[in-house]
Amino acid sequence: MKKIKTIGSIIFACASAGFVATMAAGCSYQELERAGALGDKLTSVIVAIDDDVKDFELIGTDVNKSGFTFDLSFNGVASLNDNSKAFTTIKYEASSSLFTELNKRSNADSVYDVFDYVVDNLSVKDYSITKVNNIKRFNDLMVKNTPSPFEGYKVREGVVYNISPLEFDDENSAVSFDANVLVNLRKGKIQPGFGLAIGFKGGVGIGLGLFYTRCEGTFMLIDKYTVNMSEQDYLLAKENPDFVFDLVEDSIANQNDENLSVSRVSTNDVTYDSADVLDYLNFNQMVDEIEM
Amino acid sequence: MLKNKKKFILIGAVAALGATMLAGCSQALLDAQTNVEDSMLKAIRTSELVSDEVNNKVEDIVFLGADFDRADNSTYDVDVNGVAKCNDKKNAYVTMSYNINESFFTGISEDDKSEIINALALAIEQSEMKDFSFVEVGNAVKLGDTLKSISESPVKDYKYDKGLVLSIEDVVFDEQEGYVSFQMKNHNKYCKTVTQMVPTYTYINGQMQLSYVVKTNYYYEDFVHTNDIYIRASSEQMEKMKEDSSLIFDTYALYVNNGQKDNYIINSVAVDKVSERDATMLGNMDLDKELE
Repeated sequence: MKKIKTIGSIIFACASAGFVATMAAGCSYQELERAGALGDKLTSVIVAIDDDVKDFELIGTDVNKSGFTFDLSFNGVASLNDNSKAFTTIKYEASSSLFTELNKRSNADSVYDVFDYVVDNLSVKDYSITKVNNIKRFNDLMVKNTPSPFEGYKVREGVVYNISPLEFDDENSAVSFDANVLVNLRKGKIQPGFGLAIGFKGGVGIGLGLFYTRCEGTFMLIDKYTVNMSEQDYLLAKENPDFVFDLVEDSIANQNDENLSVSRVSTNDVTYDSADVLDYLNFNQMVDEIEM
Repeated sequence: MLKNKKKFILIGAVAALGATMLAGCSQALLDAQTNVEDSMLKAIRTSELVSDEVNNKVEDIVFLGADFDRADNSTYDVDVNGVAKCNDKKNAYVTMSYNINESFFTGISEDDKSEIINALALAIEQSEMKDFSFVEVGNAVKLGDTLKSISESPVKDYKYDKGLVLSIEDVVFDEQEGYVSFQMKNHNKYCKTVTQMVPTYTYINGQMQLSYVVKTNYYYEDFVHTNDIYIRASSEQMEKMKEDSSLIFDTYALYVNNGQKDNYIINSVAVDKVSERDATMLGNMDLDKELE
């Protein structure tokens, strides 16, 4: 019931958005339905692995083609028994032969048929969970702190896909992690040009027009965050790792980069356009609706 | 907050023997290309990093582009890419790595490609080569022809228009898994064709009137892709490929041209933009004629 409510509200949000006609035309109910169904399957898998997890919502799937064995990472947010939330990734390995007929623009059904097969038939390779105290605030600030990699393109929307394990530097009392952020980048282009002009009052001629088009795509950005701390805070962070994310949030919110440094590790294309629900995602609403 | 690494990619022109071959390519740019190619050849002849065997093989070199990464406050790490014409009629991709002081580019207009290339030529002559990569590919044109089949636009609604392989590196033989892999960097141009109608005022039938202008517009976006490519190979094939690396790329091109998707994998590692200041000559060069 919860899953249907989530999908329904997202579709409603789509229909009432500013670009009404465009957004409604672009909303794919099939994609949302398949992602929701896969998320339900993954919930069962994760709950069987981790007693602390109550529920899981899938945000998207990253496919890394490392040779003829592909690494699949299903990324999302889990709700835990202590009512906290966590970025969660569950990984599988699958033969490339499953993906032979797929390409970047394959439709949702084709892509999710393969994902469903993997989850139904293969074993989990790895599982990671990163608790964040205020996950909505963290996600919002991280996305805002992620600059577009390309000149002229703006980050239209984004979501934290996953966080790498924390690396502790005892010598410098510093903690670092990689943040994978999925972003939708967009830019507008205006191009003047002459063309056939058709007059409202009749007749034809040659006219000058200003033609506008949009250019957009989904990209995966990896940024390395390094937090320098006092010794006291460092010891606290070792005991309570989610404290690190509180510090990151505060630094970003206060625009204080004295103790926080960030560098871009990589910018990459996504493997399959329909493997994530970023276009339709309301992250805060999703977090609220995960079963408490 | 986020301190971006300063990075830009310089795409060179492939100078034809006759200036008439390159419509829109200024003489200054052609001269700059010749200048940098002379510097590259001289570097190959004199660097200790280049073996006698390679030195004796290389007859000439064609400059393709340079990749700049900010190393520190005063220097860039630069990879200079080219295609070598060898005395056995084969081609080889060459990458020459330098750490270049930014003073070489002080006062140079970022919009003047020929100035940048001339500065690069001087920098190559006065800097020490840090690394050298030489990969024989057989026929560079045949390799470049595979781009049409393997390339997928990172942005929606754009299709592959043309491309240029910039570098080939890191050939690895994995006998256990049964594949050979290499990293390929290529510059692609993608195009979107849209017929649009916009309102405007036009002089028709003796009066200015509201009208619609209809025009088919072509929008272009450039991206530089770094891909890890894996091709299946038997033990016997690998032994031959180790003797003659051009067989790797002949096999790869055969797989791609025959649509044998089970036998090769393209894994995107990174995607970059070509900034507008890089006056790429892609589309104005004829690599086939240049390598005759």
